[in-house]
Amino acid sequence: MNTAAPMLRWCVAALAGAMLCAGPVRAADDSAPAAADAAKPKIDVRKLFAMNCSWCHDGYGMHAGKGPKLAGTSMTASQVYQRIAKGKSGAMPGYEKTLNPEQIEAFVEYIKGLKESDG
Amino acid sequence: MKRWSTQMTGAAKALSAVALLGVSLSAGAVDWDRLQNADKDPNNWLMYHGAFNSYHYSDLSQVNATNVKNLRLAWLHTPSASKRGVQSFPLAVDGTLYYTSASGQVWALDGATGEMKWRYQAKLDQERSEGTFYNPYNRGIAIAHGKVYMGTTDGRMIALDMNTGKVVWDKMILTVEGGNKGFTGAPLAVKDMIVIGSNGGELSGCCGPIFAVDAKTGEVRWQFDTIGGDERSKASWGNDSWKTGGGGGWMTGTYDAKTNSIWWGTANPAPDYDWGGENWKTDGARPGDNLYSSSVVVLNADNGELKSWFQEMPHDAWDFDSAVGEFMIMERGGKRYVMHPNKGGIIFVYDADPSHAPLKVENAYMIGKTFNYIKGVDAKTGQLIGRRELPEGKHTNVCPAIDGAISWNTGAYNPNTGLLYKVGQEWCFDIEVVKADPPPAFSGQTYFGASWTSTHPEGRKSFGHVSARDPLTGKVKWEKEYKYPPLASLLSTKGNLVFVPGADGRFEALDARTGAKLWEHNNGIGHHGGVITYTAKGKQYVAVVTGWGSHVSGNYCPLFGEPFCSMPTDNGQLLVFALP
Repeated sequence: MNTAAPMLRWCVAALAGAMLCAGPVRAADDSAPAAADAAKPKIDVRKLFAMNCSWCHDGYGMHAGKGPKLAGTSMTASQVYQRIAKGKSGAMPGYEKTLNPEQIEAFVEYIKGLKESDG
Repeated sequence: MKRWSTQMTGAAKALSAVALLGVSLSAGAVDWDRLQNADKDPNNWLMYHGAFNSYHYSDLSQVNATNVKNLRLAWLHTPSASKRGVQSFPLAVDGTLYYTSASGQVWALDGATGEMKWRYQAKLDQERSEGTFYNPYNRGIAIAHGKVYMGTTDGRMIALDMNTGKVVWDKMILTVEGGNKGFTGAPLAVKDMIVIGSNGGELSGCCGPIFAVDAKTGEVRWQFDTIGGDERSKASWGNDSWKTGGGGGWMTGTYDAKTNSIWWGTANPAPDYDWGGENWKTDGARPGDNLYSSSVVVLNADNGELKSWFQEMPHDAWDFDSAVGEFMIMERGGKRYVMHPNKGGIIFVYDADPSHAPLKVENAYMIGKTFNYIKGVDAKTGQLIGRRELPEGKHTNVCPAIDGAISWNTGAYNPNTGLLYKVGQEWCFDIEVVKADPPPAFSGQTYFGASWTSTHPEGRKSFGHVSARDPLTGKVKWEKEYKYPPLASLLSTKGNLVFVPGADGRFEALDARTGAKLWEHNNGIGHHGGVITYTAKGKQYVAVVTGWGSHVSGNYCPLFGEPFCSMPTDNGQLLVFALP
């Protein structure tokens, strides 16, 4: 993963149980910024998690289940990206064909933001 | 009750005599007549359920309640890496043992010594196989007409020469365009056809097919779509949601010669879960009953046409599909019944006559104890009472958890004791249901809408039990509780035994009459596969597969801690026991 690539700012209120959201860093221009933000769809990571990850990773990644607990992972952000994109043979399917890079980046930010103590 | 006759026919006696003399029958001898009489052929285990009556029972009694304490490991076999453990059901034919391990491997071993006769390794489309959750395990094979038949995780059927392991035919059955699902369950040989159902209850995509292929060529003879296959089904999925509806029939059904019918259980609908809640008939992701998901279907064996059905979980809101378990065919008082367990912890007893459409329910009873997804089941109609819907939002202490009160492995029925032996699992979860975006139709992509955390039933830790009961009335004779819910299949024998392969690695023999533990051996790793008995060179053996790592077993670490947190999930063995 190119760690310089993400241009996303995260609302990590998800850790407190609220909806986690992400929006692009506002561009420094003279156009109507609010309208520009609204035009770009926000990534609802918890919803994406429920749709793609919950079969194996319990409690939005905060508990072990069929797959490991994600909170407190020792993997680097780059490793998490690669694992989501490519999967792990015999254990986890790859998601690079069903998730776009921005969505995978959103998962990386979310997972790396989970604290082990949250579980 | 009227007990099932254990008298052997002349043909079966002849077969037994041949086996006891150590004479090897030719492989081609596994013909349709022999398969139909598998219940009278105790020296062999010829199909996934042992015989079409699906009793998982053997008339062998060399090993019995008196001498089982002397049972010892005779030999074992270690396949190469077997991720998610060995989940296969071995078959035994004329002194040779056949079984599968992960990633498309098939083994043929000498039943008395374990000496390898041949091995086959399928070349799989790894990207496709790994694109599903149902990978890389395999749950068994069929043997007939001189061949070993296996389904693969990338949607193919393969026939091997049972004497050499060489490929006879290799056919793509379930294409990516056809639904992008695969096969993990064992096929069933019926006449000159091999029947198999697809996996994929949690995957978007039509139509959850069940196939019958020509045993000689692999050409598809018929296909039954568990969802969207007829107008009744389509009408039960509002907004054409059948096109993303999951379904399938991922475990092995059976054949009833009396009515020339195939009985098969079907998987849950997608999405798993639906946010529609109380308004599920008109609202949500898949408004309506969602036929024929979470149902029993009865098909004409010759053409796959639907004769009858019963939807055990109308609009399944809990992932309690009907694909699990066995179809035990039995007779009492001149009337024939089919007993079928559902993942929600209910045993349904049907009239075996499929001219009733839907099927006529003769009884329905719960074997789960801590359930709260319903208040109960109507014994006369099989209808669910007091459904607990799971609309969008959070729900706590839902019992049983997604893993069900009954898992995919089988129970056993002993005609001598007249008792059904069945595992029950008691666990719960907290779940948050979200509105999932539907994936493209026919895509085979995951279609979930929830996140959850495993929990214990209120007031106590999760646990399991093996009960012995009248299969038709449900009346309990005895019950044994287990700290860790067993996940493997059970086996009962004329030696008054019930074998229980445990989750923690303990392999037990219980007294079939009382439940008293008579023997145990620590196999060192959990079980969630098959157990059979057979003879080789006149001696009785008991074979069981080991290995841990199924989707259900993943919840044992968070629920119970050790030994499950450190239990390997990438290997397993075949262990074979005998008296000294």
